[in-house]
Amino acid sequence: MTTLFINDEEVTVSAGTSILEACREHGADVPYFCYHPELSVAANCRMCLVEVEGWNKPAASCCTPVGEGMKVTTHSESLAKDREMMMEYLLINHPLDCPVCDQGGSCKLQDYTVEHGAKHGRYSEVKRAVVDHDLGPFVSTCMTRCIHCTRCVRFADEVAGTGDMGVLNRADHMRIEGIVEDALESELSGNLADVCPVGALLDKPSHDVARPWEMTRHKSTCTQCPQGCDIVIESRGDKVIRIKPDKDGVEPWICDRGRYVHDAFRADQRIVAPAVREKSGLVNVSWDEAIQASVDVLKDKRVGIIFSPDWSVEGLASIRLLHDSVFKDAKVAFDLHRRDMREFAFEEGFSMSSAQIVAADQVVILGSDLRQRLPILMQGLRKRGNEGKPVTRIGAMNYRTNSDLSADALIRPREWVAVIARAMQQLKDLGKTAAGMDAWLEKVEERHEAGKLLADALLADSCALLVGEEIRSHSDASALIHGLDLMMRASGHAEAGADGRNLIPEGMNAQLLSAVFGDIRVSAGDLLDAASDGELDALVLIGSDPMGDGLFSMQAKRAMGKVPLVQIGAIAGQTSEFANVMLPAAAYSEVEGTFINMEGRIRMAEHPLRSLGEERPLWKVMMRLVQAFGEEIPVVNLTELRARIESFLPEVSGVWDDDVTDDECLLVARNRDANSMPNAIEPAMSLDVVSRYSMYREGMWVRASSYLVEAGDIHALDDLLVHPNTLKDAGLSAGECKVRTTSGDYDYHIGVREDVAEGVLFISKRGVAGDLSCEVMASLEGGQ
Amino acid sequence: MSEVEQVHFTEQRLAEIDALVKKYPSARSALLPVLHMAQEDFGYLPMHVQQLVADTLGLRLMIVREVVTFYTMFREHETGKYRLEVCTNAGCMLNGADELVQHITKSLGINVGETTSDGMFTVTEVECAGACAGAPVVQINNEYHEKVDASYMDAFITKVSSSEEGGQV
Amino acid sequence: MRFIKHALKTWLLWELVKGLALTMRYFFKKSITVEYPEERTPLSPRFRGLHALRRYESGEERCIACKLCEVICPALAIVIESEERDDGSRRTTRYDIDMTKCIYCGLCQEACPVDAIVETQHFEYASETREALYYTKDMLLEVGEQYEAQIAANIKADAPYR
Repeated sequence: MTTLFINDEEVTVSAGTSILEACREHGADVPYFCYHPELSVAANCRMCLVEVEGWNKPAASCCTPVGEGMKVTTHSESLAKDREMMMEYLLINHPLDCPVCDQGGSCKLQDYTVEHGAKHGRYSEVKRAVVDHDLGPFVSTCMTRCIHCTRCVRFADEVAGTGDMGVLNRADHMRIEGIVEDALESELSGNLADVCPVGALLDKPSHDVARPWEMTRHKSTCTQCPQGCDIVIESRGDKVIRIKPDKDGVEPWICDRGRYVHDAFRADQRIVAPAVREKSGLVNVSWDEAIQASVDVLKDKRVGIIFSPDWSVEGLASIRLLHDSVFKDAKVAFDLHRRDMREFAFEEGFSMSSAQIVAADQVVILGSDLRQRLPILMQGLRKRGNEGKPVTRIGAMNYRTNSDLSADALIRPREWVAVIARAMQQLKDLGKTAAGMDAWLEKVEERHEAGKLLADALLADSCALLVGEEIRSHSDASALIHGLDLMMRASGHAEAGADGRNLIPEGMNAQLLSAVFGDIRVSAGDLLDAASDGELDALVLIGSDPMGDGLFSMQAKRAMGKVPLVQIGAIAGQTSEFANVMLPAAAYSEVEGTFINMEGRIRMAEHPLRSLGEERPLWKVMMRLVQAFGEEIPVVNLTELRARIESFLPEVSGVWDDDVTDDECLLVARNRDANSMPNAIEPAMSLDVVSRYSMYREGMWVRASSYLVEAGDIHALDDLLVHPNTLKDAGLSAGECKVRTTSGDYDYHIGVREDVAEGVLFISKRGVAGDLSCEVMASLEGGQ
Repeated sequence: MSEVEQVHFTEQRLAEIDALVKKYPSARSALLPVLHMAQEDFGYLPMHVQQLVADTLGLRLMIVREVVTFYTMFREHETGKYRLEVCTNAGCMLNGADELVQHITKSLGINVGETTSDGMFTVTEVECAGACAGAPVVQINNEYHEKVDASYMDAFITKVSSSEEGGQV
Repeated sequence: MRFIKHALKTWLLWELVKGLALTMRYFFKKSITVEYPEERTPLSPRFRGLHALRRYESGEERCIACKLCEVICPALAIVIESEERDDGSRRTTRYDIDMTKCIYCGLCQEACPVDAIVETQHFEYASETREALYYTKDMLLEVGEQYEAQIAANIKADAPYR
């Protein structure tokens, strides 16, 4: 710790802190442009000058570390003059177009000009103009306004990891340029507009639409991925203008998916009024009529319910209440990416916080496109990579991470058992065992060398496993996860506090879902098959779109239309074609609710936006249905509902009373009796099918947002991809091929990419081939 | 990247670069000398050569671009055989650099930054060459010509032109 | 003595004479009222009447949707919505002034960086319905076109004092 004096006030900060950070911590106001708490220090704006006693010239406080007994002055006459001169310099080429600039009103340059600038400009010569760049669908540029603080360049280097922005030329010709002209290759590009202290980089979708002072801010939680970032929804009236990361939130950035999904809030696809299908199509009716219609469809029927995990905790619990009151025998599913419904040894959710994962000695990503799946966590791992800490990845595809991986192994899904067995063997040879390990190991004969990477990582003092979708949707997932659990126990990474088992969940609220629905959940694929086979009489979809999301789109397409459908949700999507009744439920931005993210962190949204139309919070819709079925309503208000939730998941108690949502996290459920053994997989066909999770495709909200659909087209890969050697082995060439699967033969265009593991048919899920996701194996034959 | 011609360093060059990289703590430090080598080998540094340098040193293309555009001695475009780089900073300007530039461009019939149609001369204005004692300075292909005036340049241009023509015959 | 003076004034109707004298004095003096609407008083160039949105000589609307008038309006009478026009410039899609709210303080024209919103000398727009007083962008632009010569002359006349 270092003690110094800021404006004669004694303060103590940790050694190595910069003067600027010390000033910020202790509320001394120092102006700055280029400094950003999350980025490296560039010290090029010279705005943060302060005086240090005994030094003969002012010091740039952002890059000067504190010293013992230092006497810092942040405001003096000569500093005011220095700052005035710096402002004059910065304003030489800055256009006087604040009235048309979106940054106007929240612009540092504007504020500091008023605060520190000279009263009059003395510069009367020609100002320079700089050519703008097209930086993709999310960032609009006006480079003439740039003051060359290079925050964006450092952001692209350090946070996005793409390094595609840079400073060209020098002096008066200096300009910031993106090397990729058509689009920034980053899933975090929306943050550039936040990072820019002036109006050079702006938010394109909300360009020229609103002024900062018109905006109302609603704190909320993003439900677009399990990360559940803290967001601030900025709205003008009822219209959402943009979504920004919450400055007081856990993460300083949010991804483009969470940021630009707001287009869907007002999309035509929103369900804003109850509707009933008549001969002419869906007709808007009153709530009473629609509820009655749902009762007519569902009363005394064998019902299947598929819901989305992204509703608020209250909404999800009310689904269970509906199930218990009315549909006691109904099949319930919510996970569209899980084939194996046996119990997992560790349930979905993280047992570490993101910060702990980033700080761990070893991180292993097992079969996940983490950059698309959890962009913000990946950003943390990238930071880790920049510091030279190892990140290992094993999976079926060299997914782009924009970061240096210390080790990377390509394997096909059928090899996962061998990989785990190899790692387990190594642990066993080193004398690290756990009860049940031998039995597991005996079941597997093959060993795969990629297992060495896993075992080596496990030998570190702290190791975070990030178990991704390739394992979770594996047909033998339970056995694989049991194997991983055994190894974590053997290597001592399973005790409380040092638990490194993180299973990336399907969506939000994983901890609640396993507690509330653990005993009744079934596979979504089985449920849909039951519907098409006539074992169910009616389907209820609650915010879920199995036709567009997940692995079972083929089954969903078969089932739709076979049985009557009641759709409850905020977005109509493609299932609405088949809906007999549609009931509008409020979006996550429009409810007062609680959300649990993958780490088990609980957040409450207390100031929601107003509903667009007649939609009601999901729990009210559910209770209304219970009432219409003539049952007693289990809860009548949020307080009662929350009391019921506490009975499912006692850990959440207190969250609502205390009104404090600190960073305490819920623990992930463990199933000590889950001991699935690996089954020998019959290699019936030559290829393993792996389908990609794409952040621009997956999710009803995302597909309803025109911005994200546009971005998805930019980043799209070929529909089906294989490794060139795979094609060579089959004696084929890229182009039209016949894909043979257990459910039939299909003709598709096959692309080639060396990033895919050999023997894998990779579905990038752009077009029709997404339906193949339900297959586990396939083989290729020549086209016609 | 596949559209542009493929360029490679010679084996000998690669060995030189390897030796150079070993001298520094990181490969990035070797960027300046390697760019000079590349310019020597390929004449100038278009994008595909910058990409080659980036790949050779394992750097991002943008880092190479930043350095190339920062220094005026790295050229991104093809130039004439003789590069007439006239310093127009304070010292030289006071000693008639501007008039000199005007004279050269007029006599060659080109603008600043352009190359004569026969590919012989390129005229550029540069920042301080650091030889103010000999102002005005013209740097011709890395060689300083000090206290230059119009007649000196005329003589030089005539001499070069005639000798080149003679050489070609 | 005082009593006699009072009695005389009473009997001679002195107050009446005095009053009539005043009446007659004004009766023959030049009148200062004007016969509105046939006659009108002169208006200051700074007169704050009905609002107008102006155009440049090229026909391009001046307003750049900076919304400074909207934010400064103390009566919250102005509502603006904007978007990026196809040519990339920032323009309004909606510019409404509720004349029933407006207090004619003139702050909007003070705030305008491009002299787009101005108050004209036109003040005779009373109507029988409230709806007629909700001025939209088109109506305001029309007012601007109608009074452009006058507005320009007023701004010019006032320029030396700004």
